[in-house]
Amino acid sequence: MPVSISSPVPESQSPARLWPYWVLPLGCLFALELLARVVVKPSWYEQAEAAVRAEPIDYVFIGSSRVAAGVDADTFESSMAMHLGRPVRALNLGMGYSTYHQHLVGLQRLVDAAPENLKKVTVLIEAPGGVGYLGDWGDEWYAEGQPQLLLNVLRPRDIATVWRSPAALSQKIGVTCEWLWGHSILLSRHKLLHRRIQNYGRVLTAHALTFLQVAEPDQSTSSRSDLTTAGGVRVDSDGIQCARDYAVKSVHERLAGQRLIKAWDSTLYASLGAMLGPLHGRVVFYRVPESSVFESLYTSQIGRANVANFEEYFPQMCSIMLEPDFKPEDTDFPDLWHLSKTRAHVFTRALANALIAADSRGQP
Amino acid sequence: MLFNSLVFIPFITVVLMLYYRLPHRAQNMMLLIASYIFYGWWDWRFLGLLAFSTVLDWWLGLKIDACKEQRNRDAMMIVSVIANLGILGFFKYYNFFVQSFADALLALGFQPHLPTLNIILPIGISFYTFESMTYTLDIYRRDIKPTRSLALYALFVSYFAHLVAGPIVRAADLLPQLDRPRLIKRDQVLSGLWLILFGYFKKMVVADNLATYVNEVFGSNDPQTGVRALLAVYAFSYQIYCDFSGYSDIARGLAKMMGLELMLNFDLPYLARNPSEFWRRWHISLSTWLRDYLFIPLGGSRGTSWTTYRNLMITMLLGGLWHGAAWHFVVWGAYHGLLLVAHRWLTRDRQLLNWRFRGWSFLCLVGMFHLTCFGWLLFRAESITQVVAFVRALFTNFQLASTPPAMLFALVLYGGMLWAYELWMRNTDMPWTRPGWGRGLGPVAVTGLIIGLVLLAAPPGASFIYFAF
Repeated sequence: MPVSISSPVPESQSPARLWPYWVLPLGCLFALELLARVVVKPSWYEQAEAAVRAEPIDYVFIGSSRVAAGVDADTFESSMAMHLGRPVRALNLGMGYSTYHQHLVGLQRLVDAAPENLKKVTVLIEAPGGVGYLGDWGDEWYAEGQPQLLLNVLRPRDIATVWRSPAALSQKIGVTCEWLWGHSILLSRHKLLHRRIQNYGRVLTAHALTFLQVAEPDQSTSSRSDLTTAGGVRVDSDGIQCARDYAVKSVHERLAGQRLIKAWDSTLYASLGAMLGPLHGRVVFYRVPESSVFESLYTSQIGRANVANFEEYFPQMCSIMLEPDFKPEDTDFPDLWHLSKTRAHVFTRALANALIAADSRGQP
Repeated sequence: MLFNSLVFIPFITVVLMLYYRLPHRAQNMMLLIASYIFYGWWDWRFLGLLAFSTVLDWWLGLKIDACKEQRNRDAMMIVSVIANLGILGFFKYYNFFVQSFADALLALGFQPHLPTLNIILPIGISFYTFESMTYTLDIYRRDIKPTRSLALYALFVSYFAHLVAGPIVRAADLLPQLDRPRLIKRDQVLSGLWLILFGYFKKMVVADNLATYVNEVFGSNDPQTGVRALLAVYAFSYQIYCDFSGYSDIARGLAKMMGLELMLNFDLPYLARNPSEFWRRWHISLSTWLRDYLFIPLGGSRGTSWTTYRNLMITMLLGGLWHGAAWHFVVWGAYHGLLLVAHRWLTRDRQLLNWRFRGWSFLCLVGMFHLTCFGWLLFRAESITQVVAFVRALFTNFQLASTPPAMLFALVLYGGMLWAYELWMRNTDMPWTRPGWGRGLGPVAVTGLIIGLVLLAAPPGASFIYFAF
């Protein structure tokens, strides 16, 4: 006989009315959701969409947090403007933990928003070690633990793109669930909100300790380093140390999983080319500066083969590889990953000069 | 599969939907299949070990009960103990003992080349092994009769709610519940839902957030300052409590929703005022198991004071070893054994330590908490070097002025929320039944937990600490 959940027996201790137990939480969650929508401002591609709608964009930088830290958009704009003799607009969309799936979907979003403002746009992509590999459509759509970056760029129609891609079924289901989940700012951006609550708490506690003369003013997040926070880069001393420790560990992990890239045509690059074609846009690769920790990735047997293969491939796709005149030292990278702000200006100028020189030579 | 992994949501939804629609026998079969799916989701290869252990003890239980002669009963019981402890010993302790033996030989100047194996530790083996042993031991003692249904016994052992991290249930408690049809009352369902919500809060909000700071400080041998070391130990004491009791709460809540009652495993342990009381409040299912199946058979406190102390030390040493195959767990067990022995010795004259002055009880509480915290330092530390570094920093380099505000805020916020809920809930799984204004706090409490989970929960998928046991 099926089990039944019996109606309350005389000695029941259940609350007489259950409605407060769901009305109050739902009401509070709704209020918090509204508050979160006020507090959490548009970012990354959401913010870029507004910029693209407002005015023509000439250059767009995409890639990881190395791009966010290493390229100063203002410096680039002024360098190019001086050469071209007209105002130039550049967007730096580098973001930590981002994938090129996200960048492509995000770029498509920008193109759909205002194609006329992206005519002849140049998309600059980092090529660490001389390899500008964007990945395949079958790769992960978002880095582990960072689904909010995908939600930033995804529109309902993009869900169909996800399902048509050769990504694993678990990935497709995961993306779809995250997208459904992501309609709530509280849920999709809860990491950001969590971090903010902790930061407010930390600052409040620090002030309380200082007021009570128990502790000195909090120095833990003051940036003694010359790093930008763009792209999610951590500038606190603990974060910098974590990043330095992880750099060494990451190289070992990547060397162990290194593979030869053969099918360049099936990479995301081909899709990017198809997107930029109607806009008469172009893709430009550039060697992004790295600390010596990462050198071994490109001097291994597989690493060298990939560099050689890429050198053969990108001219076929009418791209160019810029080699900015910039010789970094390890001290230029406070956390071993990201270029310091001071040196980023120098590198950006060198990058702009390299692009100007390439354009002068009539390269595509 | 973990309770806080995404796949658990569809799993438990399907299980409960089927459970409420199926008749009793079909319910049990469905739960058995679901439990094996739950366990196999981690590594299907170890389902065989679980099944083997289950069938062996079920069969031995029947044999022990059928034996008329005491020596045959003894023999069967010994086979059961050896088999269970042998399996546990091999998977959990083989490498530990081999390596320790090799280290000892090395210290004596020998050059041993003893083989160690790359053995995967099956999740929950310590728990289900002890549960299986309660079955055969209780039959041997003639406390219970064996069940003729292998499926029923298999469900008792593998029931997913308690399988991987307890509570360690007794056959006498759970088997009768599984054997009869369940009538689920609304009280039970609501109580179960509350426990599940609170369990997730403890795990995902309190434990996982404090874990960040604990791992940061314990990740280095040098805690830098004594205040940092102290806060990290406090944080770990809450982390391990919330991690473990949170899991137990979820397990009990799930069981309640199915009309089953699992034993209370934690009873506000940090309110204990002495070591004896602490072990009546902490991991109650383990401490009672050790008491009933180890301490009392050794003689308990029936002999002289010295034999009682010996029995306490043996029990706590083995209790420490149960937690993991490493010397620091043994040291932790020995430490608690010494605390229990010291408490016994100090209170042998009942007038001693029975002081009556204002604040004495509170002093005992604070003192016991800090004694427990030192134990947690032994438990968590990566090495004895780290323990020494922490203690040295505490006493020679405290530096209150460099109190890390982030860690302090986390402790105050999460610890404060935890204590508020725990005190409101004390002695009941239905705190909304408290008379007066306590009753009206129900909706507010639920709202607080839900908002806490939405805003403050750490990313999903983090393992429970006790998964290594």
